[in-house]
Amino acid sequence: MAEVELTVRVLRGPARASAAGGRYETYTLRADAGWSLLDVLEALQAGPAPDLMYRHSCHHASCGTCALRVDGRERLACLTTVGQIAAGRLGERTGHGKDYRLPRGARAAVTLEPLRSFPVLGDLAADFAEFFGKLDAVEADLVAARGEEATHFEHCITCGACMSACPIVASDLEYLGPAPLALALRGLQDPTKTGSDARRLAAADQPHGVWRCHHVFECTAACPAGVDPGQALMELRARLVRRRLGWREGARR
Amino acid sequence: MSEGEARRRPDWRAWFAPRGRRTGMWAFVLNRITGLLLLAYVFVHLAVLSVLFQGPAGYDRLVRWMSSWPFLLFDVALVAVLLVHGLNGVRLVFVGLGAGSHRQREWFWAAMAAAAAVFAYTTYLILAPAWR
Ligand code: SF4
Ligand code: FES
Repeated sequence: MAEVELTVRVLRGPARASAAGGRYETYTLRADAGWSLLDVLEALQAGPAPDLMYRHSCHHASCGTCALRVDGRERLACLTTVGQIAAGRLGERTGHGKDYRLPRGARAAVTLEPLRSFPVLGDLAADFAEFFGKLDAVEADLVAARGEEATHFEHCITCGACMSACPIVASDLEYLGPAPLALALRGLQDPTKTGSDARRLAAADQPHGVWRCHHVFECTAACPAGVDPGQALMELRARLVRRRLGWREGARR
Repeated sequence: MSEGEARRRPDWRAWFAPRGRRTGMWAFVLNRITGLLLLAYVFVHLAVLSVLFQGPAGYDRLVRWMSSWPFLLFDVALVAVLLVHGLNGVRLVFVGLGAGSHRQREWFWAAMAAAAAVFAYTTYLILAPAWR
């Protein structure tokens, strides 16, 4: 694979309430086009930035810990490759397994920032406590049912990309946000009836629940797992409206 | 949140930060801006209409203003803002009802195409008499 001379601007800084307020540090390194951004971050840690903080675990888009902003877009670091960055193809879900036919001596520059609307533990590591609290509010822990037909809503890896992409999550601290609301809907659909539907409905049907959404749909665009939280929100709204009108399952409260 | 962690603050800049974003976000930003412009226009509108308190002389003055070029151009701009905001609003009603949230991008461009067509026609209606 081709080698790329990569200039990485990293928004660094100590623990703070939001990504703002850090400072940009620039590093240049030679990176293989097949490297993921996690490989790049590891190389920086092994070289010029030994104290660099970032989160990761699985390296294969399952654990949901490595999301960050790459040139302003929420991406999983493990799915994003150097070749993809050099080719300017950040719109694609992953750069793995692709040959972007980069010219010899290719150069690229990229800016890495922690997720928006998350407190920062340090450098690129976002603090997920608030987000996980919102997931708990809708009883997002699901049990897989045997023989159940899979929908896309349970593919959520709770990476936080949608929360970062949503401008309303940024302005309304109490807004539950795309992933928790998508999982609220998924919970309501759950044939095993795990968790409390009353709690899910109460969490969704309040001013900081589904009604706060302003149809930006950046959540769906940012999601690396194809969950489509935007559609989940709209379905949840329709469900709540039907319920208010008493159209289904004797739903008067 | 556990204790000792920094509490984040509402960040309204995110409403006007389309860097790295896609159609849905641009539509949102456009709707905020046109919404604010329309809000401002309501006050301009009331201020202009208040000359009617001056009786028939005020009325004549108003009609003279309203047929002047700057005012006509203002009207043309107003129509554009109204169309963008209104037709995007119609898109949001459909999308918000769960109809076509998958197609929200296409709906946006359809709304903007409709806005452009109506805009061209109204611009003609507003400006054509003034040419003659
Ligand atoms: S819905 Fe998608 S973007 Fe949001 S947390 Fe789940 S996997 Fe991440
Ligand atoms: S490291 Fe697990 S999702 Fe990227």
